[in-house]
This record gives sequence, structure tokens and C-alpha cells, in this order.
Amino acid sequence: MLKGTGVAAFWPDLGFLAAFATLTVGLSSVRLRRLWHDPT
Amino acid sequence: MRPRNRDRARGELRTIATLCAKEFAQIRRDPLSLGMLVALPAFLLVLFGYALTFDVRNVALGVSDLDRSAASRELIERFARTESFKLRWQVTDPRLLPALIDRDAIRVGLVIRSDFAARLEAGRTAPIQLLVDGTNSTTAVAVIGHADAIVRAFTSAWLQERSERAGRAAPPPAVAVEARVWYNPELKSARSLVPGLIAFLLMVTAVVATALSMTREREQGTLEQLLLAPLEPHQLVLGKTLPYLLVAIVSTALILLIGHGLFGVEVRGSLLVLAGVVLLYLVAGLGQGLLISTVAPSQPVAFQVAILTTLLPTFVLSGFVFSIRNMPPRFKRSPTSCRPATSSWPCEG
Repeated sequence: MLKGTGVAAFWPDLGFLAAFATLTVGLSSVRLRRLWHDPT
Repeated sequence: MRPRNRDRARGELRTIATLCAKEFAQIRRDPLSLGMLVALPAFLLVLFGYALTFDVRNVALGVSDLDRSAASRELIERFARTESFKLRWQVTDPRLLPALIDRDAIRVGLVIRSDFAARLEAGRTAPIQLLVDGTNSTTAVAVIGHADAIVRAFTSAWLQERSERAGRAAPPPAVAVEARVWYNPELKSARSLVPGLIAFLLMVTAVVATALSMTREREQGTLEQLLLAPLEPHQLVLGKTLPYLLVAIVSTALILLIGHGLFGVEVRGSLLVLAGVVLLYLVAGLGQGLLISTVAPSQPVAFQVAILTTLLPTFVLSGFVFSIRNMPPRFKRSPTSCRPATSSWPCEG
């Protein structure tokens, strides 16, 4: 027997994860761009 | 695709593959990264699966039987027969039981009054006293539940026996509980811990390993060399994160296999959905690691920040150990990147 089947049950959590991933990757890109010019 | 575009795409892939190969070589040479990625998951899985458990078993029991009747012996026997209790002490003076609890010799004390059997025979309520060590409240609540179930079973059996002796049918119980435990019928804590552990290990390994990668380059002064190389920023990011993504995917497969082989935890839902969720989860973890690695000035700092920002939310706030439903409202939607992992993974034992 399965508990919580169906992707519908995960939507809020998946949305949170996606937002979190976008935020961290975006912020990392900004930081990397700065490092690109000043790697010290 | 036009030939020029195809060449460009091929060149880009080759550059990323070269960076990945360099990163793999670095992982192999660095004992800290290798330990985080390989040894820690294996160690934690075995530790949580075998040693750490929430099951209440072998609770030391002390008994003071002042009645010494067949009925009282039968009740004590019922306590001793279960896996939950282990009869350690039998004392004549009930006043010794608190002292035994105080010395940690027992966790539960059972006192049976001298008129226990007489009251039962007379059809009156026969009270027994249960002294429970409440220092560990979780164990104490479980112990009281187990003791209650044992006493109910004893009462029911005793009523039936008395009715049979009197030559009449036993009265049916007013309310009868027929419990059906779903998803984890044997109530083994390993079956709830192992799926949660997958999320826990993935988050810790993905974030810590990635957090160290860029900081290492900065600390060793090799970042400048990388920046001088004909690389685009996105190639550097992909080359730095893809190896860890691959390692984490292999790690996930290994944990699932070990979980299935050793603890009987299997995925009954869609593997495709699980793979999709794991991939998204890993991208979030790798992003967090990458962010830490671009901010932290040294490897020890990156390691500490990564551990603090993953271990605490994943372990304490994700519902892995402590139920989220029991938390105060303001903590319920705490920003823990790992919350979905333990609360809604399609894993089942």
C-alpha cells in the first residue's frame, strides 16, 4: 500500500524546492560573476 | 543544427567534460571530500538502520508483588513475556522501587497490592501502581501505553476465565479496538528512518561537497588559473557541479539498494517521479553548496556553514526526527529546503 501517491500531493513542496534552487543558483551566479572580476 | 553550431556545442561539451574530469581527480585526491561522499552516507545508514531506533524495547522493570497470588503472578508474567519489558528486580518492599528508579536500575516499577486477587474475585476494581521514570518523556509515554495494553489483555482474559468457571458465556467487551497499522505494519522505526535518511544524506553530501569545491580553488590560488582558461562562467558552474550531481545520483541509488537489501524499504510508487524529485532536490542542494562556496573565504568556514545550514534544518526541522505537526504554527512552514523529503517521499516498507 502506498502513502501520499500522486504528484499533486507534492506540488507545494516541489514549488518550494524549485524556488529554492532558482534562488541559490541565481545568487551563486551573481557571486561568481563578481569573483570572475576579482578572484581574491 | 548547422555544422558551425554543432561544432560549438561539441566544443562546449568537451570543455565541461574536461572540467568534470579535473573535479573527479580532485575528489579522488582529497580525503575530506571522498569521506563526505562515500564514508559518511554508508556510516549513517548503518548507524540509523541498526543502532538508532525509536522502538521501545527491553525497558527494565521492577516488581513488588505484595499479593503473591496466581493472578498477580500471571500479570507479572504477561509483563515479562513482552519485548517491551525486561523483568530486572523483584522486591518485597514497594518503597524500594523509587530508589531503584533513582539509581537507574529500572525505568518502570509495578506495585501489586496484597488484596489484588481478592478484589478480582469479588468483582471489584483491583488497582495496581505503575511508577514510570519520566526523564525520557517519549519512552515514558510508550511504556504507559504498553502497560495499559497488557493490563487490558489481562483483564479481558481474566473476565473470560471467571465466566467459564461460573459456567456462563463471557460478556462481550463494550468497545473492542481492532487496530490495522498501514504502511509499516510491524511498526519498525528503521522503515520510517531509512527513507528520511536518504533525503538527509543527499542534502548533507551534496551541499558540503559542492561548498568545498570552489572555496578550495580560491584557497589554493588555482581559481585565477581557471579564470585565465578559455572558459565561460556557466561552463565553470556546470563543470563544478555536474560531478557532484553524478556522485549524488549514484549515492541515491546505493542508499535505495542498501535500504531495500538490509532494511526491506522499497519504492512502490513511480521510480520516475522519485528520480524527478531527487533531481530537483539535488539541484537545490548543489545550488546551496555553490552559493556557500562563492561566499566562504576558506574550506573550514565553508564546511561549517554547509554543515550548519543542512544538518540543523534537515535533522531537526524537516519532520525526520520531530513531527512537524506538533510544532508551534510559526515553525510549521520553516524554510527548510529538505522538508518535502521526509514528509512526502513515495517510499514504503
